[in-house]
This record gives sequence, structure tokens and C-alpha cells, in this order.
Amino acid sequence: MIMTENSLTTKDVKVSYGQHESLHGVTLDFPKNQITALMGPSGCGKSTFLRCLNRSNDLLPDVTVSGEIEFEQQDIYGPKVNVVALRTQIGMVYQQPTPFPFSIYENVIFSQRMIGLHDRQKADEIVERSLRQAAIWDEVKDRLQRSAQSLSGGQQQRVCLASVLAGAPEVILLDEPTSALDPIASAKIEGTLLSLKDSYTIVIVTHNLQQASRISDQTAFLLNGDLVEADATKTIFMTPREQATSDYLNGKFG
Amino acid sequence: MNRYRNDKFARGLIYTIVGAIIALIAVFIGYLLVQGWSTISWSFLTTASDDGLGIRDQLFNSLYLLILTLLLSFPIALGSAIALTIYGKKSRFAAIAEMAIQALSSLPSIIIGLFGFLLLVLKFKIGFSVLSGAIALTFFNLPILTQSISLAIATVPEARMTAGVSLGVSKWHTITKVILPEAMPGMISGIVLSAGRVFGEAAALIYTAGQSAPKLDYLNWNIFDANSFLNPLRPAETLAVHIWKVNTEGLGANAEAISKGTIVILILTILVFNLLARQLSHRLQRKIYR
Repeated sequence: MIMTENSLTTKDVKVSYGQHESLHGVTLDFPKNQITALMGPSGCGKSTFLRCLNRSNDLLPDVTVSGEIEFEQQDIYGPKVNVVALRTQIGMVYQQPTPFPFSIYENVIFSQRMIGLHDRQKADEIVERSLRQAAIWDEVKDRLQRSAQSLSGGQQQRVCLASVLAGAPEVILLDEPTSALDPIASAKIEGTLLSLKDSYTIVIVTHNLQQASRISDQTAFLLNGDLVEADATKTIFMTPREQATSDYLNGKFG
Repeated sequence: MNRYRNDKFARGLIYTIVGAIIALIAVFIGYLLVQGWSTISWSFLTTASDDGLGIRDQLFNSLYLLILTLLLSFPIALGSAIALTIYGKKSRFAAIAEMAIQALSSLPSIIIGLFGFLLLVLKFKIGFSVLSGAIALTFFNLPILTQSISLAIATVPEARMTAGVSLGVSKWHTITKVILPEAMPGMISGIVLSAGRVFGEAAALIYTAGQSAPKLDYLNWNIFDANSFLNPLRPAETLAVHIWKVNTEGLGANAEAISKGTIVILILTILVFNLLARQLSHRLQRKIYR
């Protein structure tokens, strides 16, 4: 068996909103430079789990997270962790594109500006590199000063991805990034993710089975707040161990 | 058929009501303007009341008090609005604070005036002064201003915060660089509208800023001199207080003319504030969503 290095590891992660526990202990590792898909029906806890991985659950009131989550062997919920810096290393793209009402250029470079980047040339380089990586450079290179909100949904989503990439993250989390997009825009995003795999560890939440099977190396199936099973994507899709997984894949519920 | 008739009737009724309100306001303002118009002249605006009709010093006092009030109340209101709408959102503390703010906003302004009189003028011995008046007006202005700034911040989509934070930007930077600029048009119109209220306020000032307008020297920049226009510790009668005083004391043959003329100036200034607010926030809005 080949030992793969893990970028993120989790152990018995539980999440409660107020009194209600919506994630009942998930243990899952995320191998470096692989795409992991979290799939399951709505309300199964996959987005909740994803939001633990960069501590964006902290923004919601009344959320308690327990269990262990380690990023490069460091407990991310530890007392000495700089949450702001952590979120630069573990970036996140949301279901709805979330560009700021700035120009495309300023959107991409925003996080770098906030940590004190003023060098014009360096900023130009980062913007171009990030937009190229997000596969949108050719479409926007002549109108970088236009408002990012004037772009189409698919373009906005890739600009948001570029904004995350500009922070030079290790891990990219994506919360159903294509469910608000048309098939052509979705295909572009998927292609982009596949090309990013060599440099980043990617975790994508999706309830699109085809998408999970097309792009991911590892797939985890969640149901009602529990991890049902996780394995290589091929194994999950061809020979699932659990009846629930098989039923979900065959469209018996969803 | 009946449903369509009902709809038509309701629509007619609503338009009639709106028309009646507009007509009422037009008649009201028109009447005041016509009555006071003959008093308005260049010398009315540029001479002191000691020398005859003029309201020069009252006009300046009103503006000076307004500026001081905004300088005092805006930072506090902005801070509390950020605390309530972003940091303390849905917390018990925010709920209690919001209730307190609502209660304070319905406090009669004469109560604020008397409170300011007891606390500032007598207890702290500041005396009838611009400063006492500005602090009393800050009490008067804070609830409304906090509410309107909170409202402006609340119109910014919540996704901005999550998006900013997910990029590894601190909460504070997301607030100052993204949320506040986007809320700016709303905040500006809130500020200017509250400025109109402050500008027209009389009851809170009668016992705090006082009812006398010493003749001011506009070339004296020494703020410690009693006749310096910038001295914050001198008494300062404003336009609204002037109207009240002229009408209650009714001294001199010209009292009525002065009162009517002052009303016109007061109304026109507030009208200008409102127009400015619209212009400014439209322009800012266009700038943001270019």
C-alpha cells in the first residue's frame, strides 16, 4: 500500500448548533494533492463539516465544534492558532459567487492588500498568475478594472477562486461551487479544479454524483450527520460496502 | 368583475390619500414661505440681532452646533452600530441595547433639555454654552443616528463578511474596507437626515445652549475669547430657539416679521440638507456599483 501524505486529518468531529447536534463524529483524512468529494443529500452535514476545516463555523453564533482537526499536524482549534492566517492557508469558495463590489483586479488582490502588499509589479504578477490558474485570464485580461459583479455567474465564481488562489493556500475548500451555474460554466470550473490538483489539496462538497465521479480521487458519503463510508472514488462508485451508499448512488433517495 | 372594481377603488383611495398629504405639505410650506419671504434680504442674513432684524449669529450658531453634534455623535453611533449589527448580532446584549436605543429615541426632547440643564449646565458648571447644547443634542441624536447607520450596514449582504473572512482577511479589515464603504450611501443619507432634525431642534437647546446670542466677531480665532465665533463655552441661541423666543417674548415691532423670516431660512436649510443627502448618496452609490 502506498503511503500518501495527509494534508488535513480529522477525528471524531462533532458539530452542534445550539442544542441540536448536526454532525455526529466524522473521522476522515484528506490526502495531499488529491480531490476529495463530500457527497450526500441536503442536510446530511457535508457543508457543516467543510466549514469546520477552515473554522468559518466560528462566524455563526451558538456553534460548538468538538473532536480533532489537524492541518499539517497542527490542531487548528488550538489556543495559539491565528485563525486569520489559517484561513489564508485553507481558502474557501461558496455556492453563490461572492465577489466584492470592486474591480476584478482589486477582488483578486484584496487579501494581499490587507496584509500590506503595495508593490504594483508584484500585485500585477499575482493577479495574472491567479486568474490564469483559475482559467479565466483570457476572458477578463482586457477589463481588469471593470466591476467583478458585472461578470456572469460562472466567471464570478472563477474570479472568487482566483481571489482564494492569490493568498497562496495549501488547501481549497469548495461548497457546491457549481450548483448555481449552468453546465458549461460548471465544466469549466471542474476542468480548473483538475488542473489545480498538482499544487493544492482540494475538498469539494457536491450533491452532483457525476461531478464527484468525474473529478475526485476520494469520495466520502455522509448521511444524517454520519460518515457512512469513504474510499477511493472508483471503489465507492463501483463496489460500495454499505447498502445506504448503494441506494443513494442508484437514486433510491437523494 | 367585482374584484377588479375593488382593486380600482382601493387604488383610487390610496392615490387620493397620498395626494391629500402632498397637498397639505405644499400648502403648509407655501404659506410659510409666502409669509416670511418679504423679510428675507441680504442684511437679514448678515447682521446681528442686536443691531435690528438680523439672524446672522443664530444661523452660524445653528451650523456650529450641528457640526459639533455630528462630531460627537457620529463616532459613537458608528461604533455602536458596528457592535450591534456585526459583532453582537443576535446576542442578548444587542437585544437589550436595541431596546434601550428605541426607548431613548422616543424620549421627549424637552426632557433631554432639562436633563442637560441639570447635569451639564448646573452640575458640571459648563453653563449655557455651545458645548452643553452639543452634548444635549448628541443625546437627542444618538438613537436615531445609531438606528439609521445600523440599517445602512444591514443592507450589505451577509456574504461579504463570510467571503472576506474566508480569504484570510480579518473581520476588522472586512468591516472597514468592504462593509462600511458599501454602507456609505445609506450612512450619508442617515447622517444628513438626522442633521435636519438636529438643525430644527429647539426644546433640547433652550436650557442648554441658552437663549441669548452675543454678537460674534468672525475674525477672532481665539477660541477663549467671549466674542470669538469659535468659543464653545459661550451661549448660543439657534434659529429654532430664536423663533421660539421671538414668539414667546414678542419684543419689538418687528418680532413677527423676524419670526416668519427665520422660519423660511430654517425650512430652506433643512430642504437643502435633504437634497444634498439624496445627491450625495446617489453619487456614492453609482461610484460603488460602477
